[in-house]
Amino acid sequence: MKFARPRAQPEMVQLTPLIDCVFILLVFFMLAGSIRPTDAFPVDLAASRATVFGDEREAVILIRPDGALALGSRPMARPELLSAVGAIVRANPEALVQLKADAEADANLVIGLMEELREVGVGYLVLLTKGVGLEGEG
Amino acid sequence: MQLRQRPNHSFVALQITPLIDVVFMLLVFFMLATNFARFRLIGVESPQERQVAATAEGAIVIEISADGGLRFDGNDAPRAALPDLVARTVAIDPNRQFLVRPGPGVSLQEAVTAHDEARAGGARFLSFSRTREARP
Repeated sequence: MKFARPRAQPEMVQLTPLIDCVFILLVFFMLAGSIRPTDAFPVDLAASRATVFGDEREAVILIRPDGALALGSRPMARPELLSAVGAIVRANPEALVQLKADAEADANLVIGLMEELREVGVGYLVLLTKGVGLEGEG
Repeated sequence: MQLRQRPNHSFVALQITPLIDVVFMLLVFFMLATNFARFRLIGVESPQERQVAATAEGAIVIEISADGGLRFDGNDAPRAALPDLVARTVAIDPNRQFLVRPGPGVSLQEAVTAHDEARAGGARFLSFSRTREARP
């Protein structure tokens, strides 16, 4: 008795579910995250138990432990920074200015900068911190 | 003689490989460039707070020193007692203003921790202030 030999079919990998997953991941990352310019230098934020959460906004001032300052991605000297922030606040008096200061920075240096920012007309000023015990947050 | 050829009805596979390439590129870009960081915000200045600061004469000053010492309204106190001291004051006057005043050499982390403790004690109007020695 002679059985018909099954003909070898070319094996096709099913790509459709893979493409579905990749599209879903793509849409998730596009919608859930935000793309921002990189900070001028890395800053290790102070930890706090503040219960108000938020994202970075238009004016983010970075303060390094040695006192170096930056406005977002641009390192700046103090007078230049104050005039740049003053211009932002004059254009939009409701602008939220955020201080992203290193935990090891001198507190008096940070508070001094807060006072100078108030003098150039900053209305709303917040200090950005990370959660207590959460290394990855912030 | 048959001049007209029959149309070829064989199945034409759509080439999706370049599409998948592009989608993968986009996916890798967004995975690397996207930022999910959320911050905890400490409000230190707003027009309302400034109004309070201008009118509140008897603000209580919480002085912290680099060696871990605490002075609450001019009196030495153990550091751990800060939330209790604030709570006792707030029980008498809920609208009392508190100023966290770090001494020379105190790091921002210590000032923020003291701010947290005062907030835990129930302080509603809380701000930072510089030491007189540190002013230029």
